[in-house]
Amino acid sequence: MSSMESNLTLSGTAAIDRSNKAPFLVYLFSALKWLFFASIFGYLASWKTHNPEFLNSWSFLTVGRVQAVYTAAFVYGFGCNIAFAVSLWLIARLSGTEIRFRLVLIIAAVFWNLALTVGVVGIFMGDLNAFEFLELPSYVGLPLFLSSLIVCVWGIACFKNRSYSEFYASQWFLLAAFLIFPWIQIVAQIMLFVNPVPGVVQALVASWFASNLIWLWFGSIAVAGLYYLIPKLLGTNLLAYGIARRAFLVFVLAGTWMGAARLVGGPFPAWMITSGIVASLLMIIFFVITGINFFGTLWQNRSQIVGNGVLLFASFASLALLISGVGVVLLSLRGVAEVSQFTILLDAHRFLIFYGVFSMTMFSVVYYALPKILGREWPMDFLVSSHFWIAFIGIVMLVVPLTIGGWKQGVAMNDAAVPFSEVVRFSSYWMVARSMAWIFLTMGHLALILNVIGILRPEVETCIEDLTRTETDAVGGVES
Amino acid sequence: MKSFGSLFIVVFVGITASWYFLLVEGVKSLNPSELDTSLQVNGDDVTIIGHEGLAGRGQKVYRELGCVACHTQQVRRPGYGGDFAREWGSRQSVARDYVLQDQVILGSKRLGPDLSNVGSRHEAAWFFAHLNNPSDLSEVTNMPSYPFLFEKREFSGSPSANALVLEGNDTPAEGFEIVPTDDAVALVAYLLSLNLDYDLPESKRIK
Repeated sequence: MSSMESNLTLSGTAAIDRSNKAPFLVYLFSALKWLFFASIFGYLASWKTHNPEFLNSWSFLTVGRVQAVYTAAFVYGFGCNIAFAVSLWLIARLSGTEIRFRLVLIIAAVFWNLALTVGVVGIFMGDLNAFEFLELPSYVGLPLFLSSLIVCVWGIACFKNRSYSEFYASQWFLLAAFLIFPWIQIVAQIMLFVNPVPGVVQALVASWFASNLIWLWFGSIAVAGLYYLIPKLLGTNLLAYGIARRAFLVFVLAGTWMGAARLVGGPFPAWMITSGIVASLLMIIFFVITGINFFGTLWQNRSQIVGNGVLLFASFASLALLISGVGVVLLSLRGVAEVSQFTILLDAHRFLIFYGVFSMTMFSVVYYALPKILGREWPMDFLVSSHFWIAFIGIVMLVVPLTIGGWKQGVAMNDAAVPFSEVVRFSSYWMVARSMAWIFLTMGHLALILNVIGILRPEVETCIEDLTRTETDAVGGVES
Repeated sequence: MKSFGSLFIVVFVGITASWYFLLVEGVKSLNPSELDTSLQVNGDDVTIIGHEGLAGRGQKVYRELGCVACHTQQVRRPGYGGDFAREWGSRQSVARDYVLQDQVILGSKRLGPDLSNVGSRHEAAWFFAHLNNPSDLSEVTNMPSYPFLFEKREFSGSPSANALVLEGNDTPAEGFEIVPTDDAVALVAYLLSLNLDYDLPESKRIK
């Protein structure tokens, strides 16, 4: 893989990267704006779980609404915008083709972010839904769907115009993501809001959507990023690239079924839950193969990782993918779920996938891609590895305490001899760790934002210069 | 993966199969719209809770405030978790219990207790006092108070029937009373309606 991909002629790749500049920057900018917003609300949502009286006098800041706003900003604001930026850049690079009609992508970005803003205001006003990852009011469902559909169609079209016959693993995962994201949105919108299915099937639809959003959309793009970056940066072949196809088949054929496992113990027939458990167990194949390919390859070349910011992020994401794979398998088992269900342990697991795997991969791609797109190095190189280490501390501080605390919470909750108030009291201690973690995560985000502002400054200056020059020229009557 | 065609087929099969067999077949196998909502069980007339009128408005308030962030509404089967031992219900909740709800609010987190049967555990006055200031009633709680669900108003003569009975620092000034807003009244009506105190053919209460 790596040998083929690095054979791209430099001038060709550089031209493609440059052609992608406008959409990449627009989506990156939106993503960072939402990341900043989500950092504040992530902290606030966490703080409120152990300090309930904080800012509780206004109805728009209830725990429930703050949490929904945080999820919307983090997942749809930061997550989707950065996924759009990275996936389009990757697909263009891998296909050796410029993306065409880029203005449409920018219009889609404007619509996506406008709709999301309206949705977040809607949540503050109380228009939220009671389904995880579907809290956004249903009236923004259509604009969000249409804007993401444009991105996905553009990605597929770019691939269809490719100049290379090679079909890389990164591309499989990207195309799967492009095909699946619109599909799951339309299913969720129709089955839950346009023409709601009756009764508990709603919870099933929501669970199916959430699982596929996390794995088949965000997970796919993260895996695509890692399949691209790791061999590229190490200059070596992946250990088991030959069997990557099997991992992909399992991911798409079994991974789509995992959602139902979460509903164990609920008012559903046993076969539904079992289908989710079996799917989660089959995913072992996917986690083992990608584990060998990513983590195994990195481990063999570990001397190269130290000091390379981009590789540090990618290595962490590879390790997090393995650990969250263990989590997927264990948490699906009925015996484990009896304890872990309804606890903060599930928050830890979701966070590990979304942040540890997906976001860390996205950071790594951004740190790699933006200098290539702009033809300029990062102005504050030290901030890249600083960001990594701060994020590392933040993730460990969040995931470890919530995992231990969540397990203890589950054990205590199942033991009626422990008063519920006691469960509440000691779970709060563990949740304080999450608030501390958010401070670190936010510092990391600020490091990234600062660096991006730094690298874009010459860009803005040139822009302003261009504008002023045009004005002077116009005065002189000379067309440039 | 050799070509876009084969990839498309694999992805299409993957996502469509899970959608069809899980969700479309799910609707058929759970068959919610065919389930009777008024029936006779062991000679007793049973009507499934529909949350109409005031309670229906209360359910909307419940959803709008985001109560689902901390509370579930599902009792797991006996022997699976501590739901029965904690007396959160006397029978497992089943699909039929949710048939008449516009938006099913199962919930997925228990930072607070399960509310499937909360209506059987407390009186209206308790709910009002709890929403106004949870720490008055439970020493250790992570539930916030909801001051905007109540208003302070002046009264002459005798206080309103639903005015909160408060002690200590919470006591309003002479001639003033704290009364629940319309939203609070609806919410409490909804919470009181959460009570699965009847048997179903597929789920009988355990005494």
